[in-house]
Amino acid sequence: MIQIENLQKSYGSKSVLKNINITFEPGKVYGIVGENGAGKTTLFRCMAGLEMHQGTINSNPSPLKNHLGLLVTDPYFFPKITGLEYLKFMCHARKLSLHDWETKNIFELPLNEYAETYSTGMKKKLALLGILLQENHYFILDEPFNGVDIQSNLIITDIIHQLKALNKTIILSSHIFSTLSDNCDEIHVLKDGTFAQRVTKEDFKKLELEMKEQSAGPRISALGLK
Amino acid sequence: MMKHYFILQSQLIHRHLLASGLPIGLAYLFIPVAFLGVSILVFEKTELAPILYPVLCLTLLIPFSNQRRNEFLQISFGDRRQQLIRIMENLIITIPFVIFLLYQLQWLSTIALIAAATAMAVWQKKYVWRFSFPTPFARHQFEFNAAFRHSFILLISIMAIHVIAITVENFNLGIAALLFILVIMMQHLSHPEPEYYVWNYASTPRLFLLQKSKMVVTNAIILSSPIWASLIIFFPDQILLIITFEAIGIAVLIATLMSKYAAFPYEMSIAQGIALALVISFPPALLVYIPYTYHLSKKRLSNLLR
Repeated sequence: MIQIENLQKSYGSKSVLKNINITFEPGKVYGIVGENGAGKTTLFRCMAGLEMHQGTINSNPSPLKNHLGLLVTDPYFFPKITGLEYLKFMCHARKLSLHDWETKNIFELPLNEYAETYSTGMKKKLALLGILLQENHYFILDEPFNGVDIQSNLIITDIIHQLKALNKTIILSSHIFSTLSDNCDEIHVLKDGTFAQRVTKEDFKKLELEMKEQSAGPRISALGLK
Repeated sequence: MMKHYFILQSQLIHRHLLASGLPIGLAYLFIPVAFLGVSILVFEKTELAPILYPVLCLTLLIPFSNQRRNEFLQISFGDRRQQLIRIMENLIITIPFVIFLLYQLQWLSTIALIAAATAMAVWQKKYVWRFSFPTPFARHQFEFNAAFRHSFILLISIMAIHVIAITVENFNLGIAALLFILVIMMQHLSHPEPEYYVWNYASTPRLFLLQKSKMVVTNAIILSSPIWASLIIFFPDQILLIITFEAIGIAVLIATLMSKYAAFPYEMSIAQGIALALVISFPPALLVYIPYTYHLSKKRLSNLLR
Protein backbone atom coordinates (compact mmCIF):
# COMPACT_ATOMS: atom_id res chain seq x y z
CA MET A 1 0.00 0.00 0.00
CA ILE A 2 1.18 3.54 -0.75
CA GLN A 3 -0.21 6.34 1.38
CA ILE A 4 0.32 9.95 0.35
CA GLU A 5 -0.58 12.70 2.81
CA ASN A 6 -0.52 16.44 2.23
CA LEU A 7 1.93 16.20 -0.64
CA GLN A 8 2.99 19.59 -1.91
CA LYS A 9 5.59 20.55 -4.45
CA SER A 10 6.64 23.96 -5.70
CA TYR A 11 9.28 25.17 -8.12
CA GLY A 12 10.16 28.59 -6.75
CA SER A 13 6.89 30.45 -6.41
CA LYS A 14 5.09 28.11 -8.82
CA SER A 15 3.06 25.55 -6.95
CA VAL A 16 2.83 22.34 -8.99
CA LEU A 17 1.22 19.94 -6.51
CA LYS A 18 -1.18 21.19 -3.83
CA ASN A 19 -2.16 19.10 -0.87
CA ILE A 20 -2.38 15.68 -2.52
CA ASN A 21 -3.96 12.96 -0.37
CA ILE A 22 -4.44 9.50 -1.79
CA THR A 23 -4.01 5.82 -0.94
CA PHE A 24 -2.98 3.27 -3.54
CA GLU A 25 -3.96 -0.24 -2.53
CA PRO A 26 -2.44 -3.56 -3.59
CA GLY A 27 -4.11 -5.51 -6.38
CA LYS A 28 -5.53 -2.39 -7.98
CA VAL A 29 -4.78 -0.39 -11.12
CA TYR A 30 -5.04 3.38 -10.81
CA GLY A 31 -5.24 5.76 -13.72
CA ILE A 32 -4.03 9.33 -13.45
CA VAL A 33 -5.25 11.75 -16.08
CA GLY A 34 -4.74 15.43 -16.54
CA GLU A 35 -3.77 17.97 -19.15
CA ASN A 36 -0.13 18.56 -20.01
CA GLY A 37 1.45 20.40 -17.10
CA ALA A 38 -1.24 19.24 -14.61
CA GLY A 39 1.50 17.71 -12.44
CA LYS A 40 1.36 13.98 -13.31
CA THR A 41 5.07 13.53 -13.94
CA THR A 42 5.96 15.67 -10.91
CA LEU A 43 3.69 13.50 -8.76
CA PHE A 44 5.42 10.37 -10.06
CA ARG A 45 8.87 11.87 -9.48
CA CYS A 46 7.93 12.82 -5.92
CA MET A 47 6.64 9.30 -5.26
CA ALA A 48 9.86 7.84 -6.65
CA GLY A 49 11.93 10.13 -4.42
CA LEU A 50 13.42 11.98 -7.38
CA GLU A 51 12.04 15.31 -6.16
CA MET A 52 12.16 16.93 -2.75
CA HIS A 53 8.64 17.69 -1.50
CA GLN A 54 6.51 18.53 1.50
CA GLY A 55 4.15 15.99 3.02
CA THR A 56 4.61 12.27 3.53
CA ILE A 57 4.67 9.25 1.26
CA ASN A 58 4.60 5.94 3.15
CA SER A 59 4.61 2.43 1.79
CA ASN A 60 4.75 -1.13 2.94
CA PRO A 61 7.30 -2.53 2.12
CA SER A 62 9.45 0.52 2.61
CA PRO A 63 11.34 2.49 1.31
CA LEU A 64 9.08 2.85 -1.69
CA LYS A 65 11.89 3.57 -4.15
CA ASN A 66 13.53 0.20 -3.57
CA HIS A 67 10.36 -1.66 -4.54
CA LEU A 68 9.15 0.61 -7.30
CA GLY A 69 9.38 0.06 -11.04
CA LEU A 70 9.30 3.44 -12.72
CA LEU A 71 8.65 3.59 -16.45
CA VAL A 72 9.33 7.14 -17.58
CA THR A 73 7.78 8.69 -20.69
CA ASP A 74 11.02 8.96 -22.58
CA PRO A 75 13.46 6.34 -21.27
CA TYR A 76 17.15 7.19 -21.59
CA PHE A 77 19.72 4.61 -22.55
CA PHE A 78 23.40 5.07 -22.16
CA PRO A 79 25.13 5.24 -25.54
CA LYS A 80 26.94 2.07 -26.60
CA ILE A 81 25.12 -0.15 -24.13
CA THR A 82 23.30 -3.21 -25.47
CA GLY A 83 19.74 -4.06 -24.50
CA LEU A 84 20.97 -7.10 -22.61
CA GLU A 85 23.55 -5.08 -20.67
CA TYR A 86 20.77 -2.65 -19.70
CA LEU A 87 18.58 -5.49 -18.40
CA LYS A 88 21.52 -6.92 -16.43
CA PHE A 89 22.20 -3.49 -14.98
CA MET A 90 18.55 -3.11 -13.92
CA CYS A 91 18.58 -6.50 -12.16
CA HIS A 92 21.98 -5.89 -10.57
CA ALA A 93 20.77 -2.54 -9.18
CA ARG A 94 18.15 -4.49 -7.20
CA LYS A 95 20.60 -7.25 -6.21
CA LEU A 96 19.10 -9.78 -8.62
CA SER A 97 20.66 -11.91 -11.36
CA LEU A 98 19.26 -12.25 -14.83
CA HIS A 99 18.78 -15.87 -15.93
CA ASP A 100 17.14 -17.27 -19.07
CA TRP A 101 17.08 -13.88 -20.69
CA GLU A 102 16.21 -15.36 -24.09
CA THR A 103 12.90 -16.72 -22.79
CA LYS A 104 12.20 -13.55 -20.82
CA ASN A 105 12.61 -11.42 -23.94
CA ILE A 106 8.83 -11.39 -24.50
CA PHE A 107 8.93 -8.40 -26.85
CA GLU A 108 11.52 -10.15 -29.05
CA LEU A 109 13.91 -7.23 -28.82
CA PRO A 110 17.35 -7.43 -30.47
CA LEU A 111 19.05 -7.49 -27.08
CA ASN A 112 22.58 -7.77 -28.44
CA GLU A 113 22.28 -4.47 -30.31
CA TYR A 114 22.90 -1.05 -28.77
CA ALA A 115 19.76 0.23 -27.03
CA GLU A 116 20.33 3.74 -28.45
CA THR A 117 19.65 2.35 -31.95
CA TYR A 118 16.20 1.04 -30.96
CA SER A 119 13.03 2.72 -32.22
CA THR A 120 10.89 4.71 -29.74
CA GLY A 121 8.57 1.76 -29.17
CA MET A 122 11.43 -0.70 -28.72
CA LYS A 123 13.04 1.60 -26.15
CA LYS A 124 9.81 1.73 -24.21
CA LYS A 125 9.52 -2.06 -24.30
CA LEU A 126 13.11 -2.49 -23.11
CA ALA A 127 12.54 -0.07 -20.24
CA LEU A 128 9.34 -1.89 -19.29
CA LEU A 129 11.06 -5.28 -19.44
CA GLY A 130 13.78 -3.86 -17.17
CA ILE A 131 11.35 -2.91 -14.40
CA LEU A 132 9.38 -6.15 -14.76
CA LEU A 133 12.53 -8.20 -14.21
CA GLN A 134 13.20 -6.27 -11.00
CA GLU A 135 10.35 -8.06 -9.20
CA ASN A 136 8.90 -4.80 -7.90
CA HIS A 137 5.84 -4.43 -5.67
CA TYR A 138 4.73 -1.14 -7.17
CA PHE A 139 4.69 0.12 -10.72
CA ILE A 140 4.38 3.63 -12.04
CA LEU A 141 3.87 3.46 -15.78
CA ASP A 142 3.98 6.92 -17.36
CA GLU A 143 2.50 6.61 -20.85
CA PRO A 144 3.34 2.91 -21.32
CA PHE A 145 1.35 2.60 -24.55
CA ASN A 146 2.93 5.56 -26.34
CA GLY A 147 4.80 4.67 -29.52
CA VAL A 148 4.31 0.95 -29.01
CA ASP A 149 2.88 -1.33 -31.75
CA ILE A 150 -0.57 -2.97 -31.49
CA GLN A 151 0.75 -6.44 -30.56
CA SER A 152 2.90 -5.01 -27.77
CA ASN A 153 -0.02 -2.90 -26.58
CA LEU A 154 -1.95 -6.10 -26.11
CA ILE A 155 0.98 -7.71 -24.28
CA ILE A 156 1.30 -4.67 -21.99
CA THR A 157 -2.42 -4.81 -21.21
CA ASP A 158 -2.04 -8.49 -20.37
CA ILE A 159 1.01 -7.76 -18.19
CA ILE A 160 -0.96 -5.13 -16.25
CA HIS A 161 -3.75 -7.65 -15.62
CA GLN A 162 -1.25 -10.28 -14.47
CA LEU A 163 0.49 -7.83 -12.13
CA LYS A 164 -2.87 -6.93 -10.68
CA ALA A 165 -3.61 -10.64 -10.11
CA LEU A 166 -0.27 -10.88 -8.30
CA ASN A 167 -1.52 -8.19 -5.88
CA LYS A 168 0.85 -5.50 -7.18
CA THR A 169 -0.08 -1.83 -7.18
CA ILE A 170 -0.05 -0.22 -10.62
CA ILE A 171 -0.35 3.47 -11.34
CA LEU A 172 -0.88 4.37 -14.98
CA SER A 173 -0.93 7.57 -16.90
CA SER A 174 -2.09 7.83 -20.47
CA HIS A 175 -3.48 10.39 -22.85
CA ILE A 176 -5.52 7.70 -24.59
CA PHE A 177 -8.66 7.28 -22.56
CA SER A 178 -9.52 3.77 -23.81
CA THR A 179 -6.22 2.37 -22.48
CA LEU A 180 -7.15 3.64 -19.02
CA SER A 181 -10.77 2.49 -19.11
CA ASP A 182 -9.64 -0.98 -20.24
CA ASN A 183 -7.11 -1.40 -17.45
CA CYS A 184 -7.95 0.72 -14.43
CA ASP A 185 -10.11 0.21 -11.37
CA GLU A 186 -10.15 3.91 -10.60
CA ILE A 187 -9.23 7.05 -12.50
CA HIS A 188 -8.08 10.19 -10.72
CA VAL A 189 -8.23 13.49 -12.50
CA LEU A 190 -5.36 15.79 -11.70
CA LYS A 191 -6.13 19.44 -12.33
CA ASP A 192 -3.99 22.44 -11.37
CA GLY A 193 -1.88 20.30 -9.06
CA THR A 194 -4.66 18.70 -7.11
CA PHE A 195 -7.00 15.69 -7.52
CA ALA A 196 -10.21 17.20 -8.79
CA GLN A 197 -12.13 13.96 -9.31
CA ARG A 198 -12.06 10.27 -8.38
CA VAL A 199 -13.97 8.12 -10.82
CA THR A 200 -14.76 4.41 -10.43
CA LYS A 201 -15.23 1.92 -13.27
CA GLU A 202 -18.98 2.41 -13.64
CA ASP A 203 -18.53 6.15 -14.32
CA PHE A 204 -15.67 5.94 -16.84
CA LYS A 205 -18.00 6.55 -19.81
CA LYS A 206 -19.40 9.65 -18.13
CA LEU A 207 -15.92 10.96 -17.46
CA GLU A 208 -14.88 10.44 -21.06
CA LEU A 209 -17.89 12.37 -22.30
CA GLU A 210 -17.22 15.19 -19.82
CA MET A 211 -13.61 15.45 -20.95
CA LYS A 212 -14.61 15.52 -24.61
CA GLU A 213 -17.13 18.27 -23.99
CA GLN A 214 -14.67 20.37 -22.01
CA SER A 215 -11.81 20.13 -24.42
CA ALA A 216 -12.55 19.25 -28.02
CA GLY A 217 -15.43 21.39 -29.30
CA PRO A 218 -14.96 24.97 -28.09
CA ARG A 219 -11.13 24.86 -28.19
CA ILE A 220 -10.89 23.73 -31.78
CA SER A 221 -13.42 26.30 -32.95
CA ALA A 222 -11.24 28.96 -31.30
CA LEU A 223 -8.57 28.13 -33.89
CA GLY A 224 -10.83 29.30 -36.68
CA LEU A 225 -9.51 26.65 -39.06
CA LYS A 226 -10.02 27.54 -42.74
CA MET B 1 19.54 33.40 -39.96
CA MET B 2 23.07 32.04 -39.51
CA LYS B 3 24.09 35.17 -37.65
CA HIS B 4 21.22 34.59 -35.26
CA TYR B 5 22.38 30.98 -34.78
CA PHE B 6 25.90 32.03 -33.78
CA ILE B 7 24.58 34.77 -31.46
CA LEU B 8 22.44 32.09 -29.80
CA GLN B 9 25.48 29.82 -29.43
CA SER B 10 27.48 32.61 -27.76
CA GLN B 11 24.55 33.19 -25.39
CA LEU B 12 24.53 29.48 -24.55
CA ILE B 13 28.26 29.53 -23.78
CA HIS B 14 27.73 32.57 -21.58
CA ARG B 15 24.95 30.75 -19.68
CA HIS B 16 27.18 27.70 -19.20
CA LEU B 17 29.89 29.93 -17.74
CA LEU B 18 27.37 31.63 -15.45
CA ALA B 19 26.25 28.18 -14.28
CA SER B 20 29.85 27.15 -13.61
CA GLY B 21 29.77 28.91 -10.26
CA LEU B 22 32.83 31.09 -10.96
CA PRO B 23 32.55 34.90 -11.17
CA ILE B 24 31.86 35.54 -14.85
CA GLY B 25 34.96 37.73 -15.39
CA LEU B 26 37.15 35.05 -13.87
CA ALA B 27 35.51 32.36 -15.98
CA TYR B 28 36.27 34.33 -19.17
CA LEU B 29 39.84 34.81 -18.00
CA PHE B 30 40.21 31.15 -17.06
CA ILE B 31 39.51 29.79 -20.56
CA PRO B 32 42.44 31.47 -22.42
CA VAL B 33 44.77 31.00 -19.45
CA ALA B 34 43.92 27.28 -19.19
CA PHE B 35 44.25 26.91 -22.96
CA LEU B 36 47.68 28.52 -22.98
CA GLY B 37 48.80 26.53 -19.95
CA VAL B 38 47.75 23.19 -21.48
CA SER B 39 49.24 24.10 -24.88
CA ILE B 40 52.62 25.02 -23.38
CA LEU B 41 52.56 21.91 -21.19
CA VAL B 42 51.84 19.57 -24.11
CA PHE B 43 54.73 20.97 -26.17
CA GLU B 44 57.11 21.04 -23.22
CA LYS B 45 56.38 17.55 -21.92
CA THR B 46 56.28 15.37 -25.02
CA GLU B 47 57.93 15.03 -28.39
CA LEU B 48 54.65 13.68 -29.73
CA ALA B 49 53.02 17.11 -29.30
CA PRO B 50 52.70 17.80 -33.07
CA ILE B 51 50.43 14.72 -33.21
CA LEU B 52 48.78 14.89 -29.78
CA TYR B 53 47.92 18.60 -29.94
CA PRO B 54 45.75 18.40 -33.12
CA VAL B 55 44.17 15.19 -31.74
CA LEU B 56 43.30 17.11 -28.56
CA CYS B 57 41.60 19.79 -30.66
CA LEU B 58 39.70 17.20 -32.74
CA THR B 59 38.48 15.52 -29.55
CA LEU B 60 36.81 18.82 -28.61
CA LEU B 61 34.98 18.82 -31.94
CA ILE B 62 33.42 15.37 -31.50
CA PRO B 63 30.29 16.56 -29.60
CA PHE B 64 29.47 18.93 -32.47
CA SER B 65 29.21 15.97 -34.85
CA ASN B 66 26.34 14.51 -32.84
CA GLN B 67 23.91 12.97 -35.31
CA ARG B 68 20.72 14.35 -33.74
CA ARG B 69 22.23 17.81 -33.51
CA ASN B 70 23.19 17.71 -37.18
CA GLU B 71 19.78 16.47 -38.21
CA PHE B 72 18.19 19.34 -36.29
CA LEU B 73 20.44 21.83 -38.08
CA GLN B 74 19.64 20.19 -41.42
CA ILE B 75 15.89 20.45 -40.81
CA SER B 76 16.18 24.05 -39.60
CA PHE B 77 18.65 25.45 -42.13
CA GLY B 78 18.70 23.10 -45.11
CA ASP B 79 21.64 21.04 -46.42
CA ARG B 80 23.94 23.78 -47.72
CA ARG B 81 23.60 26.14 -44.73
CA GLN B 82 23.91 23.26 -42.26
CA GLN B 83 27.25 22.27 -43.78
CA LEU B 84 28.41 25.87 -43.76
CA ILE B 85 27.46 26.26 -40.10
CA ARG B 86 29.24 23.05 -39.18
CA ILE B 87 32.42 24.04 -41.05
CA MET B 88 32.37 27.49 -39.42
CA GLU B 89 31.80 25.99 -35.95
CA ASN B 90 34.70 23.59 -36.30
CA LEU B 91 37.03 26.23 -37.71
CA ILE B 92 36.17 28.76 -34.98
CA ILE B 93 37.11 26.21 -32.31
CA THR B 94 40.23 25.25 -34.26
CA ILE B 95 41.54 28.85 -34.60
CA PRO B 96 43.38 29.10 -31.22
CA PHE B 97 44.98 25.68 -31.81
CA VAL B 98 46.03 26.70 -35.32
CA ILE B 99 47.59 29.93 -33.99
CA PHE B 100 49.56 27.98 -31.39
CA LEU B 101 50.69 25.40 -33.95
CA LEU B 102 51.85 28.22 -36.26
CA TYR B 103 53.71 29.79 -33.33
CA GLN B 104 55.43 26.42 -32.88
CA LEU B 105 56.20 26.37 -36.64
CA GLN B 106 54.29 23.10 -37.06
CA TRP B 107 53.13 23.65 -40.65
CA LEU B 108 52.19 20.06 -41.41
CA SER B 109 50.18 19.66 -38.19
CA THR B 110 48.38 22.94 -38.92
CA ILE B 111 47.31 21.85 -42.39
CA ALA B 112 46.31 18.40 -41.12
CA LEU B 113 44.25 19.93 -38.31
CA ILE B 114 42.34 22.31 -40.61
CA ALA B 115 41.70 19.53 -43.12
CA ALA B 116 40.53 17.08 -40.42
CA ALA B 117 38.29 19.71 -38.75
CA THR B 118 36.66 20.53 -42.10
CA ALA B 119 36.25 16.84 -42.94
CA MET B 120 34.61 16.22 -39.55
CA ALA B 121 32.12 19.00 -40.29
CA VAL B 122 31.26 17.68 -43.74
CA TRP B 123 31.19 13.99 -42.88
CA GLN B 124 27.85 12.77 -41.65
CA LYS B 125 26.90 9.45 -40.24
CA LYS B 126 24.41 8.04 -42.71
CA TYR B 127 23.86 4.63 -41.20
CA VAL B 128 23.79 3.09 -37.76
CA TRP B 129 26.32 0.39 -37.05
CA ARG B 130 24.37 -2.33 -35.27
CA PHE B 131 27.27 -4.57 -34.35
CA SER B 132 28.02 -4.33 -30.65
CA PHE B 133 31.60 -4.67 -29.51
CA PRO B 134 32.22 -7.27 -26.85
CA THR B 135 34.08 -5.83 -23.84
CA PRO B 136 36.14 -7.49 -21.13
CA PHE B 137 34.37 -5.74 -18.27
CA ALA B 138 32.09 -6.69 -15.41
CA ARG B 139 28.66 -7.46 -16.81
CA HIS B 140 26.57 -5.17 -14.64
CA GLN B 141 28.26 -1.80 -15.05
CA PHE B 142 27.86 0.52 -17.97
CA GLU B 143 30.67 3.05 -17.48
CA PHE B 144 33.60 1.00 -18.72
CA ASN B 145 31.60 -0.81 -21.41
CA ALA B 146 30.48 2.52 -22.87
CA ALA B 147 33.93 4.10 -22.51
CA PHE B 148 35.63 1.12 -24.14
CA ARG B 149 33.30 1.18 -27.14
CA HIS B 150 33.40 4.98 -27.49
CA SER B 151 37.18 5.21 -27.36
CA PHE B 152 38.01 1.93 -29.06
CA ILE B 153 40.09 3.47 -31.87
CA LEU B 154 41.91 5.73 -29.41
CA LEU B 155 42.66 2.74 -27.16
CA ILE B 156 44.02 0.77 -30.11
CA SER B 157 46.25 3.76 -31.01
CA ILE B 158 47.56 3.91 -27.44
CA MET B 159 48.29 0.18 -27.53
CA ALA B 160 50.20 0.76 -30.79
CA ILE B 161 52.22 3.55 -29.13
CA HIS B 162 52.90 1.17 -26.26
CA VAL B 163 54.15 -1.52 -28.65
CA ILE B 164 56.53 1.09 -30.11
CA ALA B 165 57.63 1.99 -26.55
CA ILE B 166 58.46 -1.66 -25.82
CA THR B 167 60.18 -2.13 -29.21
CA VAL B 168 62.44 0.93 -28.82
CA GLU B 169 62.82 0.23 -25.07
CA ASN B 170 61.42 3.64 -24.11
CA PHE B 171 60.08 3.15 -20.57
CA ASN B 172 58.78 6.75 -20.28
CA LEU B 173 56.66 6.36 -23.41
CA GLY B 174 55.21 3.14 -21.96
CA ILE B 175 54.26 4.93 -18.75
CA ALA B 176 52.76 7.76 -20.83
CA ALA B 177 50.60 5.17 -22.63
CA LEU B 178 49.48 3.77 -19.26
CA LEU B 179 48.52 7.22 -18.02
CA PHE B 180 46.81 8.09 -21.29
CA ILE B 181 44.48 5.10 -20.92
CA LEU B 182 43.58 6.19 -17.40
CA VAL B 183 42.98 9.76 -18.62
CA ILE B 184 40.48 8.46 -21.21
CA MET B 185 38.63 6.58 -18.48
CA MET B 186 38.74 9.67 -16.28
CA GLN B 187 37.04 11.66 -19.02
CA HIS B 188 34.21 9.12 -19.21
CA LEU B 189 33.85 8.84 -15.44
CA SER B 190 33.60 12.58 -14.90
CA HIS B 191 30.22 13.03 -16.67
CA PRO B 192 27.14 12.36 -14.55
CA GLU B 193 24.71 9.70 -15.71
CA PRO B 194 20.96 10.47 -15.60
CA GLU B 195 19.45 10.32 -12.09
CA TYR B 196 17.47 7.20 -13.02
CA TYR B 197 20.69 5.15 -13.25
CA VAL B 198 21.55 5.99 -9.65
CA TRP B 199 18.01 6.00 -8.27
CA ASN B 200 17.52 2.42 -9.47
CA TYR B 201 19.96 1.02 -6.92
CA ALA B 202 18.38 -0.51 -3.84
CA SER B 203 21.35 0.53 -1.78
CA THR B 204 22.56 3.15 0.66
CA PRO B 205 24.85 5.96 -0.59
CA ARG B 206 27.79 4.34 1.25
CA LEU B 207 27.28 0.92 -0.36
CA PHE B 208 26.62 2.48 -3.75
CA LEU B 209 29.87 4.48 -3.64
CA LEU B 210 31.85 1.47 -2.45
CA GLN B 211 30.36 -0.67 -5.22
CA LYS B 212 31.22 1.95 -7.84
CA SER B 213 34.75 2.34 -6.46
CA LYS B 214 35.25 -1.41 -6.59
CA MET B 215 34.07 -1.39 -10.19
CA VAL B 216 36.53 1.39 -11.05
CA VAL B 217 39.49 -0.41 -9.45
CA THR B 218 38.72 -3.79 -11.06
CA ASN B 219 37.94 -2.47 -14.52
CA ALA B 220 40.85 0.00 -14.59
CA ILE B 221 43.24 -2.83 -13.71
CA ILE B 222 41.72 -5.02 -16.45
CA LEU B 223 41.78 -2.26 -19.08
CA SER B 224 45.36 -1.24 -18.41
CA SER B 225 46.60 -4.81 -17.89
CA PRO B 226 48.20 -5.21 -21.35
CA ILE B 227 50.33 -2.14 -20.61
CA TRP B 228 51.32 -2.66 -16.98
CA ALA B 229 51.88 -6.38 -17.50
CA SER B 230 54.15 -5.91 -20.50
CA LEU B 231 55.99 -3.06 -18.74
CA ILE B 232 56.68 -5.38 -15.80
CA ILE B 233 57.88 -8.10 -18.18
CA PHE B 234 60.15 -5.85 -20.24
CA PHE B 235 61.29 -3.47 -17.48
CA PRO B 236 61.32 -5.73 -14.37
CA ASP B 237 63.71 -3.44 -12.49
CA GLN B 238 61.09 -0.63 -12.70
CA ILE B 239 58.30 -2.67 -11.10
CA LEU B 240 57.90 -0.34 -8.12
CA LEU B 241 57.56 2.68 -10.35
CA ILE B 242 55.01 0.88 -12.57
CA ILE B 243 52.91 -0.12 -9.55
CA THR B 244 53.13 3.43 -8.17
CA PHE B 245 51.90 4.97 -11.45
CA GLU B 246 49.08 2.42 -11.73
CA ALA B 247 48.04 3.01 -8.11
CA ILE B 248 48.09 6.79 -8.48
CA GLY B 249 46.14 6.50 -11.75
CA ILE B 250 43.45 4.40 -10.10
CA ALA B 251 43.33 6.75 -7.10
CA VAL B 252 42.77 9.63 -9.54
CA LEU B 253 39.90 7.69 -11.14
CA ILE B 254 38.30 7.19 -7.72
CA ALA B 255 38.78 10.90 -6.98
CA THR B 256 37.05 11.68 -10.30
CA LEU B 257 34.19 9.33 -9.42
CA MET B 258 33.75 10.95 -6.00
CA SER B 259 33.94 14.45 -7.51
CA LYS B 260 31.22 13.48 -9.99
CA TYR B 261 28.86 12.28 -7.27
CA ALA B 262 29.73 15.25 -5.05
CA ALA B 263 28.18 17.44 -7.74
CA PHE B 264 25.50 14.95 -8.82
CA PRO B 265 23.16 15.23 -10.73
CA TYR B 266 24.92 18.26 -12.21
CA GLU B 267 28.20 18.41 -14.10
CA MET B 268 31.22 19.31 -12.02
CA SER B 269 31.60 23.09 -11.81
CA ILE B 270 34.76 24.79 -13.07
CA ALA B 271 35.79 25.36 -9.44
CA GLN B 272 35.45 21.63 -8.71
CA GLY B 273 37.37 20.84 -11.90
CA ILE B 274 40.19 23.13 -10.81
CA ALA B 275 40.28 21.51 -7.36
CA LEU B 276 40.54 18.06 -8.97
CA ALA B 277 43.27 19.26 -11.35
CA LEU B 278 45.26 20.70 -8.43
CA VAL B 279 44.97 17.43 -6.52
CA ILE B 280 46.12 15.46 -9.57
CA SER B 281 49.17 17.69 -9.89
CA PHE B 282 50.03 16.90 -6.25
CA PRO B 283 49.02 13.22 -5.76
CA PRO B 284 49.60 13.02 -1.95
CA ALA B 285 46.62 15.38 -1.65
CA LEU B 286 44.45 12.47 -2.91
CA LEU B 287 44.66 11.02 0.61
CA VAL B 288 42.63 13.97 1.87
CA TYR B 289 40.64 14.73 -1.27
CA ILE B 290 39.08 11.25 -1.73
CA PRO B 291 37.65 10.97 1.83
CA TYR B 292 36.44 14.57 1.65
CA THR B 293 34.61 14.13 -1.68
CA TYR B 294 33.34 10.73 -0.50
CA HIS B 295 31.69 12.50 2.41
CA LEU B 296 30.19 15.14 0.07
CA SER B 297 28.99 12.45 -2.35
CA LYS B 298 27.32 10.51 0.44
CA LYS B 299 25.45 13.64 1.44
CA ARG B 300 24.57 14.47 -2.15
CA LEU B 301 23.21 10.99 -2.89
CA SER B 302 21.19 10.72 0.30
CA ASN B 303 18.13 12.15 -1.50
CA LEU B 304 18.24 9.47 -4.16
CA LEU B 305 19.42 6.41 -2.24
CA ARG B 306 18.14 5.14 1.06
